[in-house]
Amino acid sequence: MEFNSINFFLFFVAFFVIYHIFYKRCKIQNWILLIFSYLFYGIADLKMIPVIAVMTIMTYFLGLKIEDFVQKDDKKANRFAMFSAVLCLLPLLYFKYFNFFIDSFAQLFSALGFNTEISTFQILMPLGISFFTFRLVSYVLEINRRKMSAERDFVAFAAYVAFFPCIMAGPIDRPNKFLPQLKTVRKTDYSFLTEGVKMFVWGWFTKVCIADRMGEYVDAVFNNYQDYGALSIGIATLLYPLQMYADFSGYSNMAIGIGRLAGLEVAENFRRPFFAQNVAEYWRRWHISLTGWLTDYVFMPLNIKFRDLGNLGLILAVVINLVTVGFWHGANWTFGFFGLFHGLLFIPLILSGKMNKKTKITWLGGWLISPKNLLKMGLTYLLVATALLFFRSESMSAAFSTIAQCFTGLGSMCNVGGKKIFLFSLMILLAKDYLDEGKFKFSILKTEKPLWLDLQLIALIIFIVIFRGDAVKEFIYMQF
Amino acid sequence: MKDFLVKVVVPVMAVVIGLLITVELIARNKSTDSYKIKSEYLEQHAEEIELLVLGPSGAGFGIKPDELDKKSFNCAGLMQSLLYDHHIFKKYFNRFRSLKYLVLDINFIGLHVNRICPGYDGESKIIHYSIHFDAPFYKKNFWDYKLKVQKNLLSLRKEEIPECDENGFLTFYPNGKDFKVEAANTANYYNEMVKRTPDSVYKDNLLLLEEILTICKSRGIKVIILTFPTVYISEFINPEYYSEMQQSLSDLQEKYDFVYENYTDSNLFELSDFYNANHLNPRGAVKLTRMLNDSIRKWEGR
Repeated sequence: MEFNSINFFLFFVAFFVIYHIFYKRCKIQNWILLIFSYLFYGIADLKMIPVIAVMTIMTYFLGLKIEDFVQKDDKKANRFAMFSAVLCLLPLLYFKYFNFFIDSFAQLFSALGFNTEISTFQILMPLGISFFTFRLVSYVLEINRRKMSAERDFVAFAAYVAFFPCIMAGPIDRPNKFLPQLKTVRKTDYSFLTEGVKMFVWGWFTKVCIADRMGEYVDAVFNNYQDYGALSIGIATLLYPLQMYADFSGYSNMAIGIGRLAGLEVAENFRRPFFAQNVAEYWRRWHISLTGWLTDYVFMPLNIKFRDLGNLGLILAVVINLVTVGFWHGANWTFGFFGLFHGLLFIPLILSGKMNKKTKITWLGGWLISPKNLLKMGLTYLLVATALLFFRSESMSAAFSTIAQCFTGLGSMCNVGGKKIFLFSLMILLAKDYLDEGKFKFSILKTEKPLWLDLQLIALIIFIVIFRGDAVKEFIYMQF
Repeated sequence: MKDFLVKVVVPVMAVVIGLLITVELIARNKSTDSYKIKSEYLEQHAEEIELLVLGPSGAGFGIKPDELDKKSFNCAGLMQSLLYDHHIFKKYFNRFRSLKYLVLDINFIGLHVNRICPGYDGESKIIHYSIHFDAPFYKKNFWDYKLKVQKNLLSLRKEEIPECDENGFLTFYPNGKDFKVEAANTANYYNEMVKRTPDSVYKDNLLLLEEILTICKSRGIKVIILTFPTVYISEFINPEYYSEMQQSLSDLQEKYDFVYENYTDSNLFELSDFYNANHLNPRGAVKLTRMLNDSIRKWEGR
C-alpha cells in the first residue's frame, strides 16, 4: 500500500479518527498504532510478519538483559550488547546478503581455477528489513551506552519498531528520541498538525509529479541504454539524482507528515542536499537518519580505533563507513562501488582539513548565490550523479557499458512524454529549496495563515491529481 | 485539533472533493456512449451473436457488422488490450450460444503491451464507466483508474472520442494530414511503449490468447486473427517486435489451426481507404468487411 494511493488514504483516515478519539490515553493510542502498523505491514507482506514479530520480541528481552548487565558489569554488558547487535543483524544478513556471499565466493573460487557448483536459494526479503533492523540494533547499543533505559512497555516498543509511516523506507528513528514520545500525550496543536499536512502534501507532490514523471524518462534510457547515445544518457544521468531526491525525500516527507498527524516527531532525513558545496557536506544533508546512524555505530568506533594512524586512519574509517552505506542498499558490487567512489572523494577533503568544515553560501545582494558557490554546488552534483550511475546500474559491467555507450555518438533524444510536467514541477521544488536554504521570509507552504495555506494546499493537490503519472509507483527506497 | 480540522482539513477537503465531483460530471458528459452501447448490447443479445469482433481500434474502425451475412457485433475499442478482450470473452462466453466466428485484431504491439505498460492510456481513455469498472483488474484500483479516466477525458477534444453505431462499429476519427509523419509518430510511440513494458507481459498475453483459442477450439468457434491494414507504420516499427509477433502467431496457428490474415501494407487498400496511417475509414471498412464475408461464404461452401 503506497502512501500515494487512495487505499492508503482510506487506511490513514480510519487510523486518524480512531487514534485521536483516544486523545490523552497513551497506552490505547500505542495499541492502535501497533495494530495499524502490523495491518499496514501485513497488507504489504503478510508472510513476513513473523520475522518482524520474532525480532521485536527477541530484542525486547535482549534490551532488558543488557540493562541488567550494564548495572552490574560493564565488560559483560559490552560483550552482550555486541552479541545482541549481531543477533539483530543476522536476519538482515541472511535475507539480504546470503546469496550474494555464496555467489561471490563461487565466482572467486572459479577465478582461482576451482570447479564450483554451488546453487543459491530463492530468498524473499522482508519489506523494510534494513530499516527496522537498524532501529533494533540502535536500541540495544543505546542501552549499553546508557543513553536510555530498556523499554518495559512492550506495546510501545513494538509500536516503535513497526511504526507504519517509517517501516518501509525510514527515516530510521533513534529509540532514545522516539520512545519517550510514546509515553506522553501526543502533540495536537494547530501548527504541529498543520506542519504534518504540509509535509505530506509536499512529499506527495515531489513523488508523483517529479520522481514518477522523471522516472519514465530515466528508466526508458537506462533500461535500454544500448539504443541511446551521449545526449540521452547524459540527460538521464543528470536527472537521476533529482529523481532519487524527489522520490526519497518525498517518501520521507510523507512519513514525517503522517508521524506528525499522529502527534509524533519523526527524524529529519534531507536538508536540501544539492546545495552542498562538497561531498562531505552532501552526506550531512542526504539520508541524514542513515548517515547519522552509521556515523555513531560504524564511523566513530572505527575512527577511534584508527586514530593513531592520523589522516590514514581517518580515510580508512570514512571509506569503510561509506562502503557500508553502499552495501546497506543491497547485495551488489555496484552499491559497494558507489560507496567506495564517495569514500575516495573524501580523501582530498580530509587531506586539506575541510571534511568537517562548515561551508557557507554567500548570498549576493541578499538573494543570489555567488558564482563560486554555484560552481562548487555544480561540481558536487556532477560527482554525485556519476556515483549514482553505478548505483542505478544492474551490474558493474552494465554501468561501464552505459558509460561506453556515451562515446558512440550523440544519439537521439529519448522520446518519452511528461517532460514539461516534471520540468515545471522541478522548478517548483528547486524554488522552494532555494527559498528555504536562503531562509527567506516567504517560501512555498511556509505560511501559517489558514486561508493562504489552504489555497496553496488546494493548488498543489489539484496539480497532483491532474499531472501525476498514470500508475501508482513504488518508492525507490522500498526495495532496500 | 479543533482549529486544525476547522481551518485546514475541512476547507481543503471540501474544495478538493467539490472539484473532483465537478470534474467527474464534466467527464461523464464528455464521454460518449460507445461502451455503454456495447455493454448493453452484449447484455441483451449475447445469445444471438454469430460473429464477434474484439481487439483495439483497428478492428473497431475496420469491421462494419452490417456488411456481414452473419449476425455480428463489433466489440473492439480504442487500444483495447488482449486482457480486456479476454475479460469480455470470458464474461459472456456461456451466453455466446450462437457464436461461430471470433475476429480478433492483433496489431504490431498487441502481444507486447497491456494496460500495465507505462504510457498505455488506451483503455482508460474513453471506456464507459459501467463496463470499464466491471473488469476485476480495474476494480482493484478503482479510484486510481477513475482519476485517470477523468484526466484523459478532460485532455481529449470531443471530436477525438469516437462514437459507434448500433452494431458497435466506430463511426468517426479525425482525418490524418500527413500519413507518413503520423505513421512515424505512432510507431515511435509503440516502440517506446514496448521498450518500457516488462517482458512478462508478452508471456501473459500469449497465455490469454491461448486460453481464448482453447475455448474456441473446444466449442467449434472459428477464430480469425487479423493484423489490420496500415500504411507506412511497418517502416518505423521495430522489426524485432514485428517478427516476434509473427513467429508467435505462426507457432500458435500450428497448434490451434486458426485463420491468420496480415493486411500490413496490403495493396488491396488505397490511401483513400484510411482515416490515418493505422485506421480504416468507412470506405476501407466496407472493403475489408466484404472480403471477410466472402471468405466466410467460401468456408461455409456457399
